[in-house]
Amino acid sequence: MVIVNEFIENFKAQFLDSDQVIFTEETTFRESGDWDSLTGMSILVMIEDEYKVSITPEELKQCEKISEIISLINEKAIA
Amino acid sequence: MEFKKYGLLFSSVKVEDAPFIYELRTNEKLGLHLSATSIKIEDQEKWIRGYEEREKLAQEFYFLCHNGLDKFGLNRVYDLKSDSFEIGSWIFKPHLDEAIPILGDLAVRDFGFSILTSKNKYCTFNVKKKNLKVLRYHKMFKPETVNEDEENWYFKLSEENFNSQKNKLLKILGHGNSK
Repeated sequence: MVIVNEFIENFKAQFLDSDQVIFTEETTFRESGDWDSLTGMSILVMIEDEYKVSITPEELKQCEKISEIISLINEKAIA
Repeated sequence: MEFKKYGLLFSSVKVEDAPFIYELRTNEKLGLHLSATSIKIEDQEKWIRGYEEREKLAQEFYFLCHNGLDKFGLNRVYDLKSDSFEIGSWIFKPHLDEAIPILGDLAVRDFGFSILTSKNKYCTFNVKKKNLKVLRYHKMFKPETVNEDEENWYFKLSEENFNSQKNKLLKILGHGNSK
């Protein structure tokens, strides 16, 4: 299971302006900070490296909140 | 020159692409870290005519990435030698599918490596020090830092390191078995 606070820290680290943004499980991340395709790619790589789970760009696109990504990782980790 | 890779089309830039290039390069956010160039469409057209001559001599390849209907972005291979090329001018429209700019970069670098004749192949590129996102992206490939000045970092990336990270990214992007 993903440790929520740890994931949020890892997630936040992918935003280069992270000092200016507060992230919680309910954060709609595309509206936060300096989101762009390279941020999205960094998040996918971070999930692969840290959680050994592959999430596709299509799956990421379906997620609006950080909590939805956490659920997706947990589902895939169990499967 | 035209090729298809990772589900995208890559065509040599033509004079009629000048307004698209102008639109991207003058975009306030996208153009923030670009080298200074003329902002007139007419000058862009003149530059493309010069480029067409260089392409005929296989000195440079400037690709428009598209799907036949929509134009997505640009990437360029230049300063070609037997063992290396420079990659640059990577710029894509904002708000695209997250995979497209990455696949556009991987495909054009694949092309660059494919036309080199030496055994020990590498590409070179420079990134503005303030362009932190692009720096972070390139550093995933573990390039060698070969120089720096006040504004830029200068890198050299072996084909081996490129392929290693490329395969990882392609797997994440759902193109793990793409050729």
